Amino acid sequence: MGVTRREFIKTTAAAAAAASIGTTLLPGGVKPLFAENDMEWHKSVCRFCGVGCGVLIGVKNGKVAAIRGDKFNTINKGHLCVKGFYLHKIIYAKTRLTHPMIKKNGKFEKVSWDEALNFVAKKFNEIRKAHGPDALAFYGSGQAETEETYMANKLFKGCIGTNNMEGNPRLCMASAVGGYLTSFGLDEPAGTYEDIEQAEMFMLIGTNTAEAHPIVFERIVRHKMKNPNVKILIIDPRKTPTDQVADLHLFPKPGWDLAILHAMARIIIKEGYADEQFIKDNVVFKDNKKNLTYEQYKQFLEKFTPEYASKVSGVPVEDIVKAARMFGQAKTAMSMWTMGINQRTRGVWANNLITNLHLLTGKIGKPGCDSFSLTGQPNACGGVREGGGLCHLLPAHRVVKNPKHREEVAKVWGVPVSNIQPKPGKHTVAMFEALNKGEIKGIYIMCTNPAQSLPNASKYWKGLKEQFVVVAESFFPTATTKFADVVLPAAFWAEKEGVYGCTERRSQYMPKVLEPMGEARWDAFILRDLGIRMGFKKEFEKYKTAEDIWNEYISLTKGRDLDLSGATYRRLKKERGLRWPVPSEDHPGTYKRYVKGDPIFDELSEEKKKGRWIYFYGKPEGKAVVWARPDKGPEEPTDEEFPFALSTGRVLEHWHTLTMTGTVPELNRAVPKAYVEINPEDAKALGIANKDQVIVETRRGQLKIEARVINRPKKGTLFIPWHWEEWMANILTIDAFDPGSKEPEYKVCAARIRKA
Amino acid sequence: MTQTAKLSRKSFFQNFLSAIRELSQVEANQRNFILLPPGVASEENFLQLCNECYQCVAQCPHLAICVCRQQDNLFYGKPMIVAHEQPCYLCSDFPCIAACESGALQLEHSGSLNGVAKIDTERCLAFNGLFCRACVNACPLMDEALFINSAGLPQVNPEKCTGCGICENQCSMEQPAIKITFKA
Repeated sequence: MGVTRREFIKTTAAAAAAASIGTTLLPGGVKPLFAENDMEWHKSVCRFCGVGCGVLIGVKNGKVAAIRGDKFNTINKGHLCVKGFYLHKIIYAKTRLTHPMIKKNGKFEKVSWDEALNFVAKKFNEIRKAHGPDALAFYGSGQAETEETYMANKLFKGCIGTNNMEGNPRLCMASAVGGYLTSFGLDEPAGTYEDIEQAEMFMLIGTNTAEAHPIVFERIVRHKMKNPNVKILIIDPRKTPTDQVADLHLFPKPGWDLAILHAMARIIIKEGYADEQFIKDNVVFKDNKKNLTYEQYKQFLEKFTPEYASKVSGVPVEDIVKAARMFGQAKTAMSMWTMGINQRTRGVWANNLITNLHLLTGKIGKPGCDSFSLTGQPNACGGVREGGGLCHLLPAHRVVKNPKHREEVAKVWGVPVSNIQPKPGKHTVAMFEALNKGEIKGIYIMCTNPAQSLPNASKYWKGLKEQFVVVAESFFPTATTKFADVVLPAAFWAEKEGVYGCTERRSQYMPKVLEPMGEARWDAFILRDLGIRMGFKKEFEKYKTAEDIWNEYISLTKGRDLDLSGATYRRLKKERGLRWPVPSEDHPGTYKRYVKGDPIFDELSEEKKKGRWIYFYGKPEGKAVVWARPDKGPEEPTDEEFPFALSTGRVLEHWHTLTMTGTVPELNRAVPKAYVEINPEDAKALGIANKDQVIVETRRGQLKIEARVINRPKKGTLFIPWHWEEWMANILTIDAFDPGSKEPEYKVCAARIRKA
Repeated sequence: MTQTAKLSRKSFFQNFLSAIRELSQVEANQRNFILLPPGVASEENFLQLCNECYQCVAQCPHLAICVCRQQDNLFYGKPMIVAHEQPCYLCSDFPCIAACESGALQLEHSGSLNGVAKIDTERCLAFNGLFCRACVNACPLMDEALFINSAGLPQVNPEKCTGCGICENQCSMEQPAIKITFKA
């Protein structure tokens, strides 16, 4: 460990003391705060979830000794969750990978960087020559920096010439992207966290905010404490710690909530809560095939009586009516959702239906009003959605299908436009399926752990075992490195500089405060050097610093909806992040999109803006779409054979596949192992007692796990936190995916449970 | 262990009588708190009845019950629980109580242990501005025995707390900031 026990207790106490007494700190944060113990504090961003909390990294004698919340960061105002608090311990984890390794005769052998990179370059070129560029693939991460994803994008889409360039945000955010694109025409929320303190009502649907986005939850709690009239509606099949603030909780059967949202819309219109003027000016109606009139939409809603929705979802009629009135009566409302909505075979539709409620009531574009998707990973928005790290995207909200977009990007990348294929590559599930089939023969996996995180994971081990797999990781071993042919040590957070873009469109800079451990290198430079060795010297040798890469990226955002041209390193190093659009260096960033103050709205022609205070410029005539989507249940409903609905999810103390939080003893102690939550009634009927070993089984696999009999899941549902490799929940989950967003349905599948 | 086994019945009774005297003399909050296995009517009663057969230690499925090894402790040689290492999970069938022949552990007293959780607010992360819910989420009587109060902070309801020590065990601090201690 980097700090002794005594030192640790001292520093944490000091940090806590500083947080409570409010010691002043100069902007920039580099000024030594505790002169007596030579601690130097650097402003950075938390490595974990998509909230984007500002942290200060305390460095002493060349080692990171403490982390504290950044009081000047507008997101967390000095607060942190327990994961962030222990972040510094992960840097010095025993499992850090410090040198490149190649698997020879089934065993990993330490090799030099030259040997490793030459080997990968040679293999990739051989595959490319023999089987074409589409036999290669890249699988990245919403935890990689924007610069890293940008380099991978250029190497694979621009130089190698394959669109098989994906990332794990496909598994978490793709449905939200689809939802925003279809409803507003442009990705990412209109509002920001600032709306929280101005909202009168919150609809938290498919989110356990208290555990998955603790600091956002804390802001909601504080707001409600100060304003007891604030109403909070929760729609979630499971009772969670988020219930602490609930005024009303609807418990739908997992996967059957679409009818509730339609029924709420119906009540809102029928009882006169709709903003008819807003609808007239700013909204059009559509179903899956054609445009509708408002009347036709009302006709469509007729089916969704509260009684019908109640029958489908199992929620009492009066609760549905109460929920709709709560939403309708509040002057301002903010809805938030995350994986419970996105990880569904009808994820895009569910996203649309939430936004419908805002469009019908005009609760959008005003302070305290927004349909606000909470992002899971720290840079899923910044690096992958904005940076174009998915198989159909190009940087800065561009798509491969659009010839103009391809041209613009090819010009900046300095590659022939013919290199960028017009056809989208393989999305995540298809990519690993192709690996199984041998259509993809070589894959580069960066900063993620698909062998554990893919749905129906064990099915995809075959491809990983058989094909040529390169894994760039900071930690070893992981479930994925087992299948690797080459592992490359990547610099960890605080050992590299770069930018993270969080949920509220805010891009924040992270400094390098340490040299990478051992021989570890920055991912973006590993990709650069690999590119050079593959024969793309001209294209890659120009990148000398992280700033070079960032500057090239923001030049591509010029004039786009996510204009970041004003967010230069010079500025980001000083400020606590900037929210795009930031068209110039003197622009303060944008609080709200589509309305006055949004530079893109302000620049619209007077003719367009005439009589409009809000203009959804991503859609024709600036009109957002209210969607009449059919209601549909989950891919695998429960039946006699598999009578339980199984959901997977997260706990506050851990993150994803435990490569990071699993190395912190304090966090391991808080939640040491996986368990399956079962309702006491169900447990009694099956003769299962608390802490019994049980077997949970689905059509895809079975898992021996400890039972936690607790009144959290509703009767007929089970819940497993998915973090542990030893109790791998993804052996059970289903790999059916949303036809629009291609995001798999982690959240619902049919299961049975018995005593082991 | 062997030392106690050698004691004659007579000297054993003398011992426990002196122990009771000692217990009544020492101010409760001045001695170290010892968490005892479930089913204890009172500490005095337990000291009288437990014959240190250690069947409860052998039967505990979670290996939570160990033997007090502090020589100068009143409970020296008696079975105890160190919640920080392994708490009591209050099994539904109580194998420890079933194994107890001396009557020191009795089913009718199995509802709660001899202690109650207390938060050290000076060291608890939640009270220091961090978002931590480890104890509340770990509590088998979540929202009843341990709950988040209106100020957004963890709080113990001593009426409901069973003193099982799972919160102490799962507290993320190196030195737990929530501990089982004397009932008020």
